[in-house]
Amino acid sequence: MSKTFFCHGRLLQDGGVLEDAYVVLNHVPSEGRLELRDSVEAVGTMGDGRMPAPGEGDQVFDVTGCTLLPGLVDVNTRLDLHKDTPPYTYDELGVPYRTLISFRHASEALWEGVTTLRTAGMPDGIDLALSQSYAKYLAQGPELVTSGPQYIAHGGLEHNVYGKKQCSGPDAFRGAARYENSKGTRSMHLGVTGRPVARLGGEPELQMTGEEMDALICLGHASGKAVSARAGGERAVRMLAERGIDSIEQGTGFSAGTARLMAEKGVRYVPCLCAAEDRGAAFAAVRTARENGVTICMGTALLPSEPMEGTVAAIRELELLVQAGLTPLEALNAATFAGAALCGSAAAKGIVPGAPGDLLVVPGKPDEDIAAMRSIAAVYRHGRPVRSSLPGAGVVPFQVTTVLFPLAGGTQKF
Amino acid sequence: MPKKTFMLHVRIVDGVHDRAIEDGAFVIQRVHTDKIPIEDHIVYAGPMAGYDWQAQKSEGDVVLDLSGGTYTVMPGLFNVHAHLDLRHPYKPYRFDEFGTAYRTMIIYRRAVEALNAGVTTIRSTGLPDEIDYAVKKAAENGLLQLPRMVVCGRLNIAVGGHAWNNYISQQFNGAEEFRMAARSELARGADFIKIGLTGGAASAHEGMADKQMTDEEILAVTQTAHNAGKKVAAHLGGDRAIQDAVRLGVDSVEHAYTLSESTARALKEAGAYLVPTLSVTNCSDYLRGHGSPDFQVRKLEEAAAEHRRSIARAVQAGVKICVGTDLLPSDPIDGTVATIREVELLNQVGLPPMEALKAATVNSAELCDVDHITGTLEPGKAGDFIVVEGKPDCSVSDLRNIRQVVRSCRLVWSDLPGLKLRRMQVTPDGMEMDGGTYRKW
Ligand SMILES: [Zn+2]
Repeated sequence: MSKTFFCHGRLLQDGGVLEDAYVVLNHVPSEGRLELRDSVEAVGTMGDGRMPAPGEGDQVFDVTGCTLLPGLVDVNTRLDLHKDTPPYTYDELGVPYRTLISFRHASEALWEGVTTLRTAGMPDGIDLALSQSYAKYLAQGPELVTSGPQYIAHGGLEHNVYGKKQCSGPDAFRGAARYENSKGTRSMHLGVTGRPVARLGGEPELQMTGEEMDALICLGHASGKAVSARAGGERAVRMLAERGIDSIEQGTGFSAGTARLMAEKGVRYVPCLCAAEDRGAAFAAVRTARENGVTICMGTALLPSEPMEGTVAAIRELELLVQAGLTPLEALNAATFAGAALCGSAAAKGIVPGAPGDLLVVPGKPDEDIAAMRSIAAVYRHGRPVRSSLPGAGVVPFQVTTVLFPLAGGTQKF
Repeated sequence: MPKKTFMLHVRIVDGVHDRAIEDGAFVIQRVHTDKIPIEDHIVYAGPMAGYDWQAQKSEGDVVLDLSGGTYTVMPGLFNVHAHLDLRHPYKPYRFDEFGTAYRTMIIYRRAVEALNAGVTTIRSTGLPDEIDYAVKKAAENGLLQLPRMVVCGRLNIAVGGHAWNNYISQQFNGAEEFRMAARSELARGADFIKIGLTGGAASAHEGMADKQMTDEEILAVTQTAHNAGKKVAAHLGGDRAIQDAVRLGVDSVEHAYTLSESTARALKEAGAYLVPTLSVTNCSDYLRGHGSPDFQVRKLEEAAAEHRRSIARAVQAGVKICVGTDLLPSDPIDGTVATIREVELLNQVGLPPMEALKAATVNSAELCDVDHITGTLEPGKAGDFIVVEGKPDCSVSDLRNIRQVVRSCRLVWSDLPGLKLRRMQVTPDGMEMDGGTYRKW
């Protein structure tokens, strides 16, 4: 039994920052068992008299000038994105290689500080297989909130991308989702609208009927799953909000009135700004949502580790949220507490006693300057270091690549 | 960025010579940092005497002086008979209990375990759903760190033949069906073709020497593979079938539970390879520990004594012997891992230590047709090697004391004086990266 102490740091909590704080992680040796019971043991301010005394063998890090925050949550990813995706439906990778590429991309995401991610549609049970591998500690990865394949109408948006579940009619959708949910998926993801249509005044094509939406949303909620939809345009977003969808992702063009309905119904908004085709419209939608009290969550709709603008998508998305009008603290909240709550993640309460110990150490004050997130100094998952450049941290433990090969690159590489 | 690593005052078993170099220098060179293919290679493996290493050294190079102990550098181990999705006990029915994606992850984990155990090349002798091809691709293009993979796709058997109840097999009837099977695997990029020619221990109602394929079927496979320049490996239990198989062109004989003197000579003459997998008939406790059915344990126990005598005859006849286990390369057994124990078992039936090391390295490299790349420590070779504390060429059990594993000149782990790197860790820090089949995934 040993402990890790982070002292004199700033701690990001739900609702604000605790200055001159400590966090103590408690490590329970697994002694050959396939289980990990590390957790956050204590949290407080230095000098509150309640910090346990460090013992022999404990690691103590003075993190003065750093901020401690929960691991990031990307609520919209697809881990099998890769270069050379063909413009027609074809399983160009095959299930085994798609699994390995997804594992690599999940490892990259963890490396970048994304400790929870929700897959917004993955084929062939690959997200479930990874999640099971992680749960059994066959390998290490982020917490995966699985969704199975994305549900779209026949011929719906991106039907040419391998791995969508295409149906027509509420019974067909229900049947498909029942089958997938029986395998243990934790959430569901719908693709509801298509491209903007000029004759509809620029509204996107509505590709699902209200009955189909009802079938999927009710089925998901009946077993406590969050149901999310990629949807845009006033009509589709309103229909989904009325039906109690849990989040609207990637879509824009909803009115202030619909945003108020979303806020009232607890529908979150996941703008996915990195992937937005019309950034102006996306920024406007973020403002509409924010002004009307809609909770915003962070999602990339890309690989979290996708290189862009000198950083990776997950971090870039935070910067874009700030550009769109969120305060840095609000952006961090979207990428931590809000996202974790949407996912039903064990990390939703943040760094509190009993929590699983997914945390980041970031030099500076990212809650004041979001660009500080570009230089994460340490990533902990399950209370154990994934990587760390803190003085005295020792050798990087986690390694899936060959020595000198960076665990990075996103779709640029594979 | 250092470019060369000099390992000085180290014993060298290079896989070429019959004696170790007692005071050697072993030098590897880095060419790029993260480019695929990795072009790092060995630049020198020879005596210290007459080698002016200081003249070769540039700034930033790493020098490891190992004169403080007895260390032997030798080629990385091969395991040329492994099924990485192995799970005990065998079931009396055929069922995909893992699904392709999760099976892939299990195989990935075991491949990493093997690499940590010093096995830098695995010949996969039958896996389903083209998973072995994917793992090989991931290893080659730098997606993940893995051992070198030599693959064959599925195990092709006759209808109801050996391992019909194992998901790794696929059943065929008639020469043309077998030809089609071989062609399909070759089209996917198979390095060799695997057939199940006789019965074995895994299925209840077959004798271990029952010949289950016709000569025409065997010939269809060997012709097809040979026309593509590839070898054929056959699961072979009994002497008569082995004789037929070698006559029909089978290149590697797997198991050989019974083998007569004359058949051993025929193997030698044909230049065929023998993969004895003595592990299979020497693992009763392991099988019982896994709850394996009585018939399986009994069959193997009854076969054990004759199996040892058979392999001893092959050793006498000078047949080229290779190291394969059928167990996981990293399976814990008798205080070590299956791959190393197999080398010990081969030594016990009469293979001298140096020959046993060659079985695990250069012979296996030839069998896998990768001997131009790896399997020996020679300038230009890829640099898959292990460093052992002791003299494994005098006492093979010294292999139990591996102190460093290197794949393509890149450290996997090291516990040498002056160079420490923890084992490859794909699990949370502090969790074990071993266990083989004892970890129930
Ligand atoms: Zn086998």
